[in-house]
Amino acid sequence: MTKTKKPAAPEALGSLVLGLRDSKLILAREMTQWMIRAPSLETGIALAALAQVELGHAQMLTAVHANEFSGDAERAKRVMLDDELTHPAALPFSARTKSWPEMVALMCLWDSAVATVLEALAASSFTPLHNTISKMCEEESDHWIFARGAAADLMAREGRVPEALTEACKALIPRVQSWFATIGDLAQLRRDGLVPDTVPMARYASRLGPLLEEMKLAWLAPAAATA
Amino acid sequence: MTVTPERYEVFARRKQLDPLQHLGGVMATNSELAYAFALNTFDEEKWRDVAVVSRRHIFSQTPVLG
Repeated sequence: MTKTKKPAAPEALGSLVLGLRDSKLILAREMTQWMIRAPSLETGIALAALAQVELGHAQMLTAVHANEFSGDAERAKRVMLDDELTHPAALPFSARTKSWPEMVALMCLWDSAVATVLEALAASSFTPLHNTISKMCEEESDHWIFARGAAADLMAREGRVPEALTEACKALIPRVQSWFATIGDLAQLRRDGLVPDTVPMARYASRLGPLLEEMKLAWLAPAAATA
Repeated sequence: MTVTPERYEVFARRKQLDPLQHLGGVMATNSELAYAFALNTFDEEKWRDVAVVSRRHIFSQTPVLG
């Protein structure tokens, strides 16, 4: 696929970029909140590094949006943790997590969801997105390892899946499904040739599957995202 | 049930043909978490490969790792 194709529906793609940017900003806030309350010093250090990566990604996505979609270069200058959130997909996640199992569930289910959409966009024919997001995906690859390890740590400490983790995941599943449905119309972007990947949801489900299975939970992909 | 974190030794190399070098250790309850800790603790360099191994899997007749 040629990497110079312009988006047919720039507003839809621009909105998706803003949604991802807001999602990254919330993840950065959550990680920052937990880095001083983490269950171990090493976990806190890891969260500080991950938060820095998420904030950097929010900055990059803001710049892409400003340069390619809104033309408001002033907004691209500096992203702050307390910047206003605007995208309806991200807003339901703006409430702070109250417990460590909730945070682990958020990283397992939602950080992975954000990574899944980013992976689809990394193969976009729209050059500015392709270039920026490919780099993000590389930097994002160890987030899942950390999330999975943190979940396994909680399970090992209790000798079974902690009820708090199961409950947190159960509560998050419909919110993440809703996030997938409102973050952007991936099917339309595929039809426009902007996103060649046809199976981001399958990849998400296969990544999460073993973890959810341990909790006797199931993931049902939202219809809009699989169309 | 309480699981005590165990020590994982961390090894890394900068380039493909470099030998793995021992960087130090991290405490974790599983290898995925140990790997994530290693990436973020020993991040002063851009490593090409990072690997962790539980100390209990290292065999020696002498206490090579202290």
